[in-house]
Amino acid sequence: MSIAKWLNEGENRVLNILLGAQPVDGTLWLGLYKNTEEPAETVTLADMNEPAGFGYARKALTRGYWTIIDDYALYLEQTFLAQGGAWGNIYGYFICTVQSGTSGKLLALEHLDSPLNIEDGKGIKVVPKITCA
Amino acid sequence: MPKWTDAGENTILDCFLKGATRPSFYLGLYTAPTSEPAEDIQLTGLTEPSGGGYARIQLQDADWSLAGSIATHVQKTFSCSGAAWGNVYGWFICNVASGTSGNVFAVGQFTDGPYNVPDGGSVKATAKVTAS
Repeated sequence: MSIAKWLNEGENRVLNILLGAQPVDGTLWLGLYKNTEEPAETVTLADMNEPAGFGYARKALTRGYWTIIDDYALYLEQTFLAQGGAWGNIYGYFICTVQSGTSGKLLALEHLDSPLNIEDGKGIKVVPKITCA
Repeated sequence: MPKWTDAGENTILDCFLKGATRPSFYLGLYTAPTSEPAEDIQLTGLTEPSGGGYARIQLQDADWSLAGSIATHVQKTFSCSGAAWGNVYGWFICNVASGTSGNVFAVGQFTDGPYNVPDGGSVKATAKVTAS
């Protein structure tokens, strides 16, 4: 994995928070997606195809656990485990503002170079990384 | 297009991901360097107009307007009075009202500059920043 790219909704939210138009998000959420093509910057949560069932849920990214080094930020490694069934091919991860559903903002995503086929009992480890440059 | 400096990028991430207190923003002008400052520019690397009524202007949150990934501040006017400033090459945003102890967050080189500012003249600057 390398580094996630900002999406239009994420860029707008960054500026809104930095310039005082809205408060900072207390928690962000990390999810996986199955969209085979890399989503465009205009993508929203409604466009994302996530794994369904078998233990899948977005993971909380709490503010205090980000490490910021110069112009990029890293979060602790997160592990998603498939339990009771396969998720199939995972093509990337995303960061959004809501724990579930599509009503929030999709901030950033990273599309993998090649998909990872997650079978029952297998997992995927993600180190969220995002830059500002 | 104006650009974020290294300190600006770090501050963006710090505010957005760690909830750091947002800094105050001040707009200033520079007479040097004559070319666009590098991303690692610091306040000590900028020369501002001296005298002639020059002072940085504080930017207010309510004066920013956002459209997509671009934020634009209402135009600010720097009026020169009492002594000429000479050639002004661009503007910057920092977190201190004066001095060099703060950080430069963004810089914008005038694309049609420099503006030679005589006594009694003025410079109108519209700060614009983007996130992408």
